[in-house]
Amino acid sequence: MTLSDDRSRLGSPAVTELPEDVTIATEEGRRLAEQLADNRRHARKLLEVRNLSTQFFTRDGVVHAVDDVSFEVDYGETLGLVGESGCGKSVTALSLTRLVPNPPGKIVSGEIILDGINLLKLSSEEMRLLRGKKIGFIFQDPMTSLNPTLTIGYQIAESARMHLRLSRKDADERAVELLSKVGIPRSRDRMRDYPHQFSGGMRQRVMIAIALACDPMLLLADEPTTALDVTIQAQILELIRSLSEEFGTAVILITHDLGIAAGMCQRVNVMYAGRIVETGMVDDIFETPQMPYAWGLLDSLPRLDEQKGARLRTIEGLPPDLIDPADECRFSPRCTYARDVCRQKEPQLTDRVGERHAARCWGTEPGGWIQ
Amino acid sequence: MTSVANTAAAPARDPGALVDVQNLKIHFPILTGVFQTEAGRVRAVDDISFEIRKGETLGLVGESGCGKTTTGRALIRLRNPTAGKVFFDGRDLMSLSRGELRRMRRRMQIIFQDPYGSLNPRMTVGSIVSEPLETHHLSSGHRMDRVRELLALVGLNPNYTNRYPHEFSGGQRQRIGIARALAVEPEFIVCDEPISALDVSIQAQVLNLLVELREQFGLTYLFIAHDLSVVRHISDRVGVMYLGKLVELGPPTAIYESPGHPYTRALLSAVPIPDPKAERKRRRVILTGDVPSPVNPPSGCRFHTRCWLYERLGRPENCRTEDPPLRQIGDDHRAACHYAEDALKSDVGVAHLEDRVRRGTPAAVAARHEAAAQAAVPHEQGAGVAGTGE
Amino acid sequence: MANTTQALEAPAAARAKPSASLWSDALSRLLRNRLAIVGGVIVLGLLLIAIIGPYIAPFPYQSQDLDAVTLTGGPVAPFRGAHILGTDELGRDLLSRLMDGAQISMTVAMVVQIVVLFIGVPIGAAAAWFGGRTDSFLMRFTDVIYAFPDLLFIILLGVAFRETFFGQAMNGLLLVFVAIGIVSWVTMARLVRGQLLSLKETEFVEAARAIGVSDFKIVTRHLLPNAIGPVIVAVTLGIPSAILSEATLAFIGIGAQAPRASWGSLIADGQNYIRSQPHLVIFPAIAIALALLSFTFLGDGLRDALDPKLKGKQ
Repeated sequence: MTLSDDRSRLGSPAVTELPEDVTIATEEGRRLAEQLADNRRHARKLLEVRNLSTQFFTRDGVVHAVDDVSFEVDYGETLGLVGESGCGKSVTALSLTRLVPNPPGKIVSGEIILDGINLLKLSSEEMRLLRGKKIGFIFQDPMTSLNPTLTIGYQIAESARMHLRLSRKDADERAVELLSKVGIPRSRDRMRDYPHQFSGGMRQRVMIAIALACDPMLLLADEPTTALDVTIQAQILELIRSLSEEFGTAVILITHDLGIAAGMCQRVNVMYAGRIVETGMVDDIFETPQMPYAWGLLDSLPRLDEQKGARLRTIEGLPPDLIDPADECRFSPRCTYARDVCRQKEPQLTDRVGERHAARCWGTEPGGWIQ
Repeated sequence: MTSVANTAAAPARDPGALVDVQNLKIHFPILTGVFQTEAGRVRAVDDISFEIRKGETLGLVGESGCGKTTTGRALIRLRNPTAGKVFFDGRDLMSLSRGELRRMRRRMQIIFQDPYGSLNPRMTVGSIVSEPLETHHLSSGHRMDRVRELLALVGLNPNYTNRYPHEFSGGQRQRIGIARALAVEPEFIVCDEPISALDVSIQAQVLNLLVELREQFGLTYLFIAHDLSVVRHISDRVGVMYLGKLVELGPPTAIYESPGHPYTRALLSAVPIPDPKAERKRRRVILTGDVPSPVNPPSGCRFHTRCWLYERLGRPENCRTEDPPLRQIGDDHRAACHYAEDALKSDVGVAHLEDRVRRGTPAAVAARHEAAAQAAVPHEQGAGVAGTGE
Repeated sequence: MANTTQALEAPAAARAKPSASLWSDALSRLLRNRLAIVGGVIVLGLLLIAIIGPYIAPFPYQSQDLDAVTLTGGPVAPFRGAHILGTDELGRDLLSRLMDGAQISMTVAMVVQIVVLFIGVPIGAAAAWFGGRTDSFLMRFTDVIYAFPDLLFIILLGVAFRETFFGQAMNGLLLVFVAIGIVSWVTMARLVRGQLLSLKETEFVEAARAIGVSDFKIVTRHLLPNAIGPVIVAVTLGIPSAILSEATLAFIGIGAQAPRASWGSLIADGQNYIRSQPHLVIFPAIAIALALLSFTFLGDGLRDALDPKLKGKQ
């Protein structure tokens, strides 16, 4: 029995308070929804983020952690958010789920429209019901995201019970299936185990099972393999890839590892200092990067398929602090190609050659001085 | 262990070796109960032998728990081996007296992974870097001058001696750690994952610094890392560890282009390459399962429980029963696999150079920019490192 | 080749703040914590009263205002006449007695914590540093002490040493304090052991060993300065429980001997008049509560200020 067969038992439509297109859980409803989704697939994106700004109000000042960020995710697409620590990629993820720790953090402006619902307009109770149901999460540290005092089976079934209103027995059944789906052997026996009885890779599999428990439309994976070894990382990435293909789940993959982005994503957003500085299809980003920051990132990576290298070209200096950023290109202090205009006015994300390719750089704009 | 392991552990000793590791074993007892009885032992490092030649950089890769860090610590006697010997410049480290060991510590140093945990938060940068000088009674008259010199050498502002570690970024802290290691003018430095906690752009800065220092002072490195690309970039030879064993050792071209151990191949195939086209073309071997516990390692070859070659060859018996010795399979290339020849024939895990697509700075732009920079600063040499004084 | 080796990056935190050690950082964090400041001020006030109390008290603690007692036919009520907080049934000024009691309570705070430090720190440090059998022996020993009935032990100790010089010192109080100390060092030993064990594994201690720094210097320069924060917190938070222990003992009649009275024995004396003259119980109780709360606030503030988890985030 596969997961999709099991949909027939997923119970009655829940939560009537939500806008009508939030909950589709019966077989019939699902088929309808799929048609509907197909129809609007061309017209509408799964997720539209418009002018999102998230700030942290600290003693030293207001940190503009995510600053006027806009992007879209298509149905079934894997989008990479790439950048170094502090660039705002994780805060973007937290904002999407409205889990920004408050205080000190706050989403100060913008719209997050998931499948037609503006998440920022929902009450916190509605958001709680939507979280986990429409958006699944996988975080970096599988140990701290699982409750050590509850069994694995309970934690997976809990989500299905809460969001899909399954009976205890049905939810357990579903948990067993999910566990075997994510490649945990003897899944029925392991239901009764506690998180500490699993290895890091296995715990991340459990996290994926929880994330997929309600068949979400969007999977948010924040550095899902950073804590894992490279062979385990390959297993987990493969799992995410195959499951997202099988269920048509869109994925936002947040990573600092350009290699993972290259292998997993269809499109990539490069973030720097709270801004998206370049966006495009994965091939365009890696073949014809437009921002000197993206150049620098690619240059500073030693390559596995390269002979013992000469010195790496590096990006000197450190990222700026995000308290009251000036109106300038935020990369300009570290950019070897910067000119006066870069320090006087911040460039916009402007279109470049290539599909949906845009970058924020005066120098590489048509007519710029870097060609 | 079996007698096979012992015979395997005596390859021709290299006269040019600065560090010579012979049959090193490090086991940690698991003690339980009131009387601290031994309930088992973690075989962190289990009978490995290799040498590090003067002036070379030996890269050591492996996944967490494979024993690479413990090996690194044992090489400068921060861990005492359970069995086996470590020779430094011909002298057995275990036979040294307290005083001799202290003097020996001037010649070998270590750089740590964690830029936050490796500096005492209660000490200023100045006292951190001068502690080795004080301990070995070096530069007694002008210690602070020497500290400033060392800070400049690693690319920090020499006037920061009165600052505390928490005032610096991760990359800068790592530089402080490097300055501390360099203070005693060592010949050999164990670099224990020195860049893996840093951001990509900072990693390259620190990596370049390590390469420059190596050239400037003729240092010998043991470079421990889990990132295979970084190891290839910096190493003259590479060793691969799995579950307490050294499974392959050889020059980077051999390890990365024709690896003789199925684990090395699996590891290579798992590394993501920042190149979408290459990624699409790659054939991955996904290893199943987790690394077994080093308390109860599998019998025979430790990798056989996850080995794709073992499956492909129809589960040969000697993989389960006989621990394969590290044996010569090519020029300066050793691997510990009964079927290394079969592994060599496979194309699993080898990235192809012709697939490269990824580009960083466009070459024309870089060339033009460099030319401009040259024109602007005609006397660039001599601006940076102003020698170390001593 | 020298590009990266040229001085680069300004330090992350060097924007505006001057260079500050972790101690001064901690102090500034402490000073931002209002409750901790209130606690600290009250603690200082209590210490001051403990030291100069006898000189500023309106009456000597043992002097009896028989006139007042005869007039009212019992304890004098507060806020009337010369005795601001009233008197007990023997006409002794309650405020003066409370001030004298502060001396006892503060002495308890100090002596007990000194005893705790002198026993707990070395035992904890030895267990952590030597490890193995030593560790296991010392820790089992602390377990035994921990499981021992405190009150019984203190009473036995009191009885055994009552006639000796030690038992007589400080009006018999020293014995009580030391007894309380002897049963309370266990937590400190465990804390120090845990701190040192985790510090021993840190990379900066490994670095010191790799450099060849002597064991003594590793302990004094690298281990102890980093363990001292939690120890300070534990000492501060241990004080209220010591004060409470002393009050409990005094209440059942062990410790301060008449005519001296600690806050605990004042409550014990006052309980006979709890219906008619509740101030005899209320004021000492307020004094105890004030001391407990202020030490706890201060301790909590110190913990937040010294918490290493906050460090990197500044």
